[in-house]
Amino acid sequence: MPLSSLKKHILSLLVISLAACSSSDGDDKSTTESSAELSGRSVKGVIKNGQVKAYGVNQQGSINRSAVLGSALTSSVDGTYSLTINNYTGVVVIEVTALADGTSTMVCDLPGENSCGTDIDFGDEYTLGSDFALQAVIPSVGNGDEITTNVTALTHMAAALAAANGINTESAAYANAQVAALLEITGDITTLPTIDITNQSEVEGADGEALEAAVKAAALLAASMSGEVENGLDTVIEDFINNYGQLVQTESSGDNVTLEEILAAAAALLNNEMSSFTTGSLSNEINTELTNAQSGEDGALTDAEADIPVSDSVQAAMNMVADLRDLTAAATLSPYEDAATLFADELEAVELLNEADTDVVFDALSSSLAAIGEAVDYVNNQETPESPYVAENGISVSFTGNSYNVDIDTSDINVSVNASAIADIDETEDYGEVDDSSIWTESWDNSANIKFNASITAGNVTLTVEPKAGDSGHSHGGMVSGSAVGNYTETCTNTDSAYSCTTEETNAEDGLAVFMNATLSMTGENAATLKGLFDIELTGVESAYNSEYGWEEGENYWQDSSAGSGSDTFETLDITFKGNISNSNGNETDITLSVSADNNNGFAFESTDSYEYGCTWEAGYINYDCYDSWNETENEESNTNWVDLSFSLNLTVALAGIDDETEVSISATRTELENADVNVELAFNGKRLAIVPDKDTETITITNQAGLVLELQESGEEDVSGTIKQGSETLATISNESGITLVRYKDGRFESFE
Amino acid sequence: MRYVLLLVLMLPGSLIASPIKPYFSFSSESFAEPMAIDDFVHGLDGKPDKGEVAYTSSSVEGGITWQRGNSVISFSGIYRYDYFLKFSDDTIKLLHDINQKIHPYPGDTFDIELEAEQIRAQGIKLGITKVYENLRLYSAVSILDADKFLSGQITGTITAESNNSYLGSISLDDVYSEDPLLDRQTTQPSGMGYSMDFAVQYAFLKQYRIELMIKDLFSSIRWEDAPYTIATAENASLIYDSEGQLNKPPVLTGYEGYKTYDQRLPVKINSRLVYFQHSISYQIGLTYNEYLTDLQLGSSYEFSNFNLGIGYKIQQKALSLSFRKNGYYFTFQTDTLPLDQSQSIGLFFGYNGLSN
Repeated sequence: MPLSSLKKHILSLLVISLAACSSSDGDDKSTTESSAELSGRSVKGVIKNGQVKAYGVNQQGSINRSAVLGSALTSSVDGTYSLTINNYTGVVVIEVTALADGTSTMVCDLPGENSCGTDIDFGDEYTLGSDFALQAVIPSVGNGDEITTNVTALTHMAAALAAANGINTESAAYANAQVAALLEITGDITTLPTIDITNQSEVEGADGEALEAAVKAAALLAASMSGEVENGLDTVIEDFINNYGQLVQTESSGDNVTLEEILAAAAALLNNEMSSFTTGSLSNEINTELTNAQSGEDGALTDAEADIPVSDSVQAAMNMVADLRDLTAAATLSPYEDAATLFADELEAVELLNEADTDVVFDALSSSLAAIGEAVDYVNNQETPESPYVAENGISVSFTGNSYNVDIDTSDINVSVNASAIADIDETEDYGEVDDSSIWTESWDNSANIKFNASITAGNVTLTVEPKAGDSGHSHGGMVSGSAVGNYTETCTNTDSAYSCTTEETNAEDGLAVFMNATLSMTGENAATLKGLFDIELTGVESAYNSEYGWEEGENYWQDSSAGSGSDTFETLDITFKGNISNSNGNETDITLSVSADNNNGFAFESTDSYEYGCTWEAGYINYDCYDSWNETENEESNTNWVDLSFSLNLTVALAGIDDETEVSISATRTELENADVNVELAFNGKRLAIVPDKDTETITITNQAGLVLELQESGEEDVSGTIKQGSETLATISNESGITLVRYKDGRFESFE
Repeated sequence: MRYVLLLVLMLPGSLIASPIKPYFSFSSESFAEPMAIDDFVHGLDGKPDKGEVAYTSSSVEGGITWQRGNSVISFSGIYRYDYFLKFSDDTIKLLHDINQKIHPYPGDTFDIELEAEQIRAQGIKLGITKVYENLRLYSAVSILDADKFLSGQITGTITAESNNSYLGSISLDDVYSEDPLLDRQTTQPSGMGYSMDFAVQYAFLKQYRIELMIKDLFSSIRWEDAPYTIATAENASLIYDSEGQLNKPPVLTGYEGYKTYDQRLPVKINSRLVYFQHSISYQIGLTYNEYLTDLQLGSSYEFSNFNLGIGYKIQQKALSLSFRKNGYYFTFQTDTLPLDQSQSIGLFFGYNGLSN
């Protein structure tokens, strides 16, 4: 009878209130009859035919080279290795060196010409010298363990830090985690899959985090190397150790290997050597991190904080769940009622973009710059230009030399735009008539760079724009710059009863760029400020427009008509914004946004338009009847022709109860017309979580710093199931029991996610 | 159940005329103190009265008796299903409110207590009755093979707050064959054990008889590898550590494991004093089952070849009618009609060849 039927009620009763080190002494440890299997891959570039040896450590925390625990050679094909160590448990150092016979090689993955030596470029093989060594440190090896440990530039850096602190279980775990934290890599650097970044198929089949780690590892060497490949990491490792696991973020002196330089090297790799590879939104992610690094104070250190993994795998899984629970709780804390409110509050300042006065100030800036552009054109085409120049939009521009000023002061708006413009105007015009026909031709090859300060106030909204402090402007030379080449032809015929023309216009623009510091602020009850550095570049713009228009009349009709078709396309669009939004409540959110569009498929926005307007009548002008019609068409992207688009957004949000500011990074890469790979990364309190939703399988995969993978799958309305795994080992299962998300660990413990 | 069917099918008709007699019995009694049984089963729909008990005790027995001298030996197959729930008034009221989406007044506090015992088993039963002039003694032992059980409890205190939220702490400790709450996938445990019954019947002063029947006086079902769960649910207050870091404890934590568990079955006692006056008898009795003690009054009339009786259980407010003839008997008990409004329903029938 009732017992089973009472289940739900009893369960709800049970949870009714829902609403609401192991230590290593650093010495070798011997056990009898124990063994462990170690395997992995050595990649600096890929190390082929390298000598792999496993060592224990002595009581002083140094590598005990007197006893080799196991050895192997890396594969001459892909750099993988496998070895067995017997009768030993504890911390292990894996070291890869070059064979004395000169047969050990490395696939060069450094950017630039002759990057690994004379005529040895990216993708070529480099013969390693005898002083080559690459290390990784494994915090704990136990009897029967099968451990994956890759040996890379990242693990080498970590091994050096561990050695500096005295190698033991704790220092090894800390060092591995610290390198990951420093370079914002989510996962265990010793187990993340390694990628040969010179191999396109490997790159394009790689997991996002693994690829990020591989590119940053190569960049680490590229940024650090000043001499030979073999000891190319020495400089950055020295800085890393001297700064206790941190690096200088950015500096002007050039004394240290900085995080900025490493990220710049990573960006260069992606933009050059790997530019033909599909790497998702990684480029945007790197650019976002680079922008952040560049914004640091000169000479300041990074503040990376390691999330040290625990050796008990179940406890590690419980920690991961606790992190997610804490993060969720923090995001829902008072005074924020829920996460949505939290971000809405933080971003309330964005509302100022919707203010009517905001439109006014941007319109005023646009009109002023257009007027200045006209004035520049005027000045360059007149032998004795007279100031002020009144533009077609009625705005008066005063000028002296290359300086142009717009000053408007009325009760509604206050505008002050002071610009210096350098323009190269080359325009020709021609007009000719033959009988009833006329031809008008126009061609231009212009370029302009404009640098300006602007201050515009309308109502309670003020926009100020200025060049970046201490910066001479964009690489193109100004805050607003660009060039345009094109021509226009209009051919007309004119008779007593008809007039018709055809037009053809082509225009190619390149290097269109906007680069400026802008502050948009609003006073009053909803006071808020949005400020930051905008950098927008548009290349390869091509447009064409052909049309026919005319007029004709007859005994009992007349008609105006026009028909045109246009085509606009571009090659690349890059937008970055680095700034913050703040409101009067003291909430402030730092934002770094990077958007890239690459029109690889050559998609063109095509349009047609036509209209007809006319009247008919019968003799005596009776039954006079007029008509008009207007048609417009525009094409859209299709399944086979769409614009590659990716973006990366980085928000830094202060959450109550989370000691450090929480960093939220969202990146997405369009993979189909209406699909995208989305990756979200959260960094808080030294921990990192990577979140990847998959719309097709309705799964969400969350990876943490320790390499644990939580996979959740929606299996019905409000029903979820999932696992937490470490490698192939399932540490916990997740299920929904009457509305409770229950996490069951493999040792019998369980807890609710809520 | 298969033991019962097996033994009944084995009985040849010739047994009826021999010292070996067949017998068969079915008994089922259900009671829900706070509301109608039907409401109790179907989601606590009814408004609960005060009450702390709900139970069902059902069994089917079929077998043979063999009389030799003053001894009667019985051997039967037995199938039984029992569950008992004991709870506080607050528990049922809160469960009902939750089910009916009624939120209590903020500040209302509920003491949560819920105990459950359940077993489904089948087996064989061997009994012996010694018959003396005024005294009849009976003892039986059942060897039980159980396939379903639950033994556990939930305790705690909950206080209603505003906004449909609650504060409090609840603990769960249960061992089971099928996880009743969290749908845990487990291996089926095996349960083997015994139970012992005793009875005495004594007639005195020619017109009186006293009867005492104790079921499951001694019992133990041993479950090997029995799944169990220990859990605690409490309001997850936000905790800030010494560094100001937020720590949000989980609302529900616990442990699931396997263990050997000895289940004891609740003792059930049925006693009565019978007074005979010519063809009429009057009875007063007491029933006890660890969860409920009830007083029973009754009377029966002996017609020429059959007997009719009537009884009343005071605690259950249940009236019973009984009929007995030539070893066959039938009793039906309820507190009200129609049956979907009954809080007490009992059905007992069978045949005892020795009484023929």
